[in-house]
Amino acid sequence: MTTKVLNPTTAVDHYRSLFRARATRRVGAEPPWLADLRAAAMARFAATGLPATRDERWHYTSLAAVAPVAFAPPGEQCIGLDTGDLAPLLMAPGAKARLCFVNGRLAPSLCLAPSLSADGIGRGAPSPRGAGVSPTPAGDDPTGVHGRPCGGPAAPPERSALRLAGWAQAIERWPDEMAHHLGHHLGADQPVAELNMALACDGAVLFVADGVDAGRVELLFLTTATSEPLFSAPRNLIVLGAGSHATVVENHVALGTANAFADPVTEIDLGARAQLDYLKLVHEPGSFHTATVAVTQGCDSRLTAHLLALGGRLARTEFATHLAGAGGSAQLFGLALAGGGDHLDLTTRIDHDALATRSRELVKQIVTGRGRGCFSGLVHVHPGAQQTDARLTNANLLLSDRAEADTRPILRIDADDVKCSHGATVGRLDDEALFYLRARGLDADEARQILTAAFATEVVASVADPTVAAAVRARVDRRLTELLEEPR
Amino acid sequence: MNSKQSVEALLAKEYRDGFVTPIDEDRVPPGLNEAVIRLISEKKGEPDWLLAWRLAAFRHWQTMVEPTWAWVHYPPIDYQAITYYSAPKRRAGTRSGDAIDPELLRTYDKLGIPLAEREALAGVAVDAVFDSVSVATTFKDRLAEEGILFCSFSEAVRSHPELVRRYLGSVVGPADNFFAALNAAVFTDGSFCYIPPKVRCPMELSTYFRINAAATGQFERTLIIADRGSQVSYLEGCTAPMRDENQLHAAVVELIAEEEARIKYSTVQNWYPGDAEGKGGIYNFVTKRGECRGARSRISWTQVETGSAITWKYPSCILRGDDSVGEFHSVALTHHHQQADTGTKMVHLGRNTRSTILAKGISAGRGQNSYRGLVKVAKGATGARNYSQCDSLLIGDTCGAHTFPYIEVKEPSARVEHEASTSKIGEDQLFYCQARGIAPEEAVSMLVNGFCKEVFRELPMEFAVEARKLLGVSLEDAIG
Amino acid sequence: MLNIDNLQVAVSGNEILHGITLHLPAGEVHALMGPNGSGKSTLACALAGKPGYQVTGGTATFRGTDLLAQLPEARARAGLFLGFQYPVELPGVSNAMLLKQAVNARRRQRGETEMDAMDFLVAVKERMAFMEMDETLLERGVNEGFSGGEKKRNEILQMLMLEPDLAILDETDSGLDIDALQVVARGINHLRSPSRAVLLITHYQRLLDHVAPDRVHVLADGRIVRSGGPELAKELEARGYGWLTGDVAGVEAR
Repeated sequence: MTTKVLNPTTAVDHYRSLFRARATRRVGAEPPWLADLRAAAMARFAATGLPATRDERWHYTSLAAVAPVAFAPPGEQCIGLDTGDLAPLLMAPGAKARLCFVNGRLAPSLCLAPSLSADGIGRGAPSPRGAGVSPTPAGDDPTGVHGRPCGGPAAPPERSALRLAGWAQAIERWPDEMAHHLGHHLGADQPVAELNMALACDGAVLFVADGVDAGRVELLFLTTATSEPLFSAPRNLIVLGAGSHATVVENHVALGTANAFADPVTEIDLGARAQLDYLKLVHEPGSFHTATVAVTQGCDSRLTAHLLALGGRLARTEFATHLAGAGGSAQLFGLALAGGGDHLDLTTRIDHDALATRSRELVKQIVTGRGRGCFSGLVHVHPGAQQTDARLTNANLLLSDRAEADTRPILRIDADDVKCSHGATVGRLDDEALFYLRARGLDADEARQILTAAFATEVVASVADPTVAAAVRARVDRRLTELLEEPR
Repeated sequence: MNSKQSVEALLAKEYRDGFVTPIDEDRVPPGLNEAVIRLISEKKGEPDWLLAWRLAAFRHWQTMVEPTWAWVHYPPIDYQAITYYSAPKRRAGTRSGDAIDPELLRTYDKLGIPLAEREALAGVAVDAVFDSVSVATTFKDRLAEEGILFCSFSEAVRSHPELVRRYLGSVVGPADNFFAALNAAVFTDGSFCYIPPKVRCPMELSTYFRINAAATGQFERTLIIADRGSQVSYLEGCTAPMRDENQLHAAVVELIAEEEARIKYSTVQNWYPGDAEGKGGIYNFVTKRGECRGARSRISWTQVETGSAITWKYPSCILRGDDSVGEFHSVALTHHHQQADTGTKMVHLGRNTRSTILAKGISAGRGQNSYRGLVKVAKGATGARNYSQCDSLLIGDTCGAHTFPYIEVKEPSARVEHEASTSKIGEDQLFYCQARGIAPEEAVSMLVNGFCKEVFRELPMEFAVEARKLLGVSLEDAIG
Repeated sequence: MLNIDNLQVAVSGNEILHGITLHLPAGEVHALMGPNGSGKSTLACALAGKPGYQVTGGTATFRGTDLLAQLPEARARAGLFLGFQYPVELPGVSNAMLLKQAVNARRRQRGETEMDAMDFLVAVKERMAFMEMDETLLERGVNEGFSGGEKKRNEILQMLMLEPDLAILDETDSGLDIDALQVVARGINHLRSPSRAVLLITHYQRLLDHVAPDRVHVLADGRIVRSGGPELAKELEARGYGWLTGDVAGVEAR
């Protein structure tokens, strides 16, 4: 493995050079508004560089190990995978729609798209809520997803029930909506999200029309072991129209131990009364992962988000939801399983910024080996956001002498008619519970395994979709078994 | 009168201790440089090692930046505009120990702290600090009978240099943080206390801090050492005149508890909070830390913070000795434009160390009240336990209540629990009380006192009464 | 079945049991009674092998093998069952799952094949009906959010599933209303057989109205101060424990 080592101070220069190289290639291929967005983002990133631990949001996670490595996007790649290889990785098997990205690039042959037509996907009349879209068997013409040559004739505006496309096609076909949403759901001062905007070259875009039930959609991001340090910056956008429903699984998984730096961003917009079940899973041993997920929630919208981290040299997810419309509610569930030398960081932010909004957050971390689990959860009740009801619970289980758990449950309250509370605990398995199980004939290791799995159960059992829930249960159990077999 | 108006009326009371004592001052010109530090050291007749210690702190301070992580907002402080030494002039011919200036005696009488021993509060020995110097210490002789040293810091440097040198900066180092480094460079006086092994201090010890001079900062330093098996309860009070400009108070308190020693440190902080529009008031940027050095030692902090425009303080415990115990009990109230960012750090190093945190924040008007705390359990601190509870009470919808707990655990046998909740005083509660014949002011006072009672229980009797009164006064007009 | 000789047990360095001798043969039910703090639960925990209970002297054998040398799970698999006074809640561990694992651990020990899911379900439902328990409790976390009565019934349900040779029931009757008490008693009586033994630890006589003991032992200050037939329990009910506490003549229990 050849790893070019950079002087830390030149990390900004490195990404700027990637930006310039890309910009040259993109001339004429991207609309000016997008080029402007990228240039502005690059400028903001260059001004701050990679975040440092003095930034309170990065208090527990240092990118010092990322800065000196010259991560770069892959060149032409041969995927060498077929849909059969995906089966054990999928978190939403049987999904009606799936986009698959390999090392940050859309892999059309691994995608599964609804209602394909010769020149795009998702055309056809808006379907009434609940009607959904018909699934297409795997192996259908992959060019339907991403295959349109750049600069082809623009298609007429589409108002399909469900539109799912790769980034390039979405920019080309739905420029106004893309311009309307891109970057608008993110907060200020997010250097890794700026870096993504500057360098994003692919990602998934999903529009669900008003009143439509989109069913399950899986976005699979595969990292394959490569010889060169690999950079990817997927950029996803999920927009749910008023009263629509969807289940979206964003699944980041590495095949083997990869030397990669993934910097994904997902922006989500929920219209009034929209309901989204969102699940993000990351399991990328050996890799760096700095994800940003930003949600804007309309009136009476309902978000359920599961943020699962099963491993990574450094895997951080910064999740923010802005309850901007009255009556909106958000349920967040987090689960981190850190073993070996994993460093997992979940940073969440819930902004209650309208009347009568509600949030519930439950985050559990299980840490063993030399692992470290870091959780920071901010609940901010803005002035005027009366009748806010918020509860945040965080529990941490330490299983080894070398493990570390850090937690910061933060409340910021600027209104008085509110019900807000949080609780956090750190500890090991309960001795009483262990003895109870042993008194029933289970040996000590079995008892520990059962109680550890039980600790995670509350989060796993809260996944509503039974297919996804079963997949999550299997993945979590497998990972727990691995972790408990590691030397403590 | 509706409940809103009545709460306004309740909150309208004035700051009680805002008068100025007319007295001649010996002050150095404003500004901060090595010459000023040498001048302070010279005025106090300090040994060379202490001057060197100050200068090293100052040089380090110049390399530091003011912390910005606290949830407080204020315009930049001009450190060159502050006077770093101001002391009431002694009348010609008086020596230390006799004849305190009658003007000063009157001042302390007015504050309810008589310095003449025959009138003094029974069972409380007081060190009175006026601007930059200690002006009197009561009951010194009585305490000396027990072998207890209780005197001004300056006197301790002269008479017990070996103790000062051994312990000074051993808990809060001269480079610990921006304000502690500033204090180390320019501190002028403070209290010193040493309790010998096995001695149980027969009375409460206390320091009363008074800022009087204008445009002057107060930088005092308190050092309390409880030797093996000893016990002491220490009280601290503070007030300042009402002035339109902000004044800086950057103190350092160091506590050392040796094996099986117990220190109880209580503060009722009532620095001038500024007026209803947020003009004036003290910036109270204080570093307080205790170290449970010996096994089975215990340090307990109790604070009632009602004053100051801005409070930035985190009385902390380093639990080094096995089976040592740290406690933090706090009531912090912010009204009008007051801002408080306060809490504690509990650092568990020894085995079976235990800590408890109980923090109550009350926000009214446009007050901003933050709890910020760290519970850290080091690897090897087996069996460490912490329980923290942070509750916020909001009065009105223009104030803020924030909770920033940090929990960092590297020891699997540790058990840490944290809970936080938020509540408000609602119209319905006030109406319920009214319907039972209780006036809204009384009801607010009842509800607030009820909210704080677990903390008040920790205060020595006289202080508890004082604290309850202060809360009532500070909350006047809070329901508006 | 169970032979305890001069057993001494300490917790955190304080000796609680100062030499207990008690012989419980197969086929019998013995009641161990005594005032609060007399050491009843300490004996139960020590016999089940709870960490923190140090045996400082004496012996205890179960079906002829040294009980005290074994891990808690080995004692359970060998057929010793402890009904807990305060059963812990195990959120996230389903009742069914625990029961199945426990039953199969015991079956493996005995060289039997594991129970398949169907047989297990039939067996457990039958016993739940017998214990008048709501079947939904099966899928809930062990004891999670159970009422006091539900927890105690759940203990007896586990006992009926595990079919132990020796059951030590620590105040299983406390906190039960009369209906629940009868159900619990029915469960215990169901288990009685010539090949099994039961040690009922209780503070009151009332459980013994439903489960007739063969012998009654009184524990006070860490010693057995009196042993006798069922009439001893009646006498205790009438006279309380006071008259016995001075009576520490090292009576051997049998």
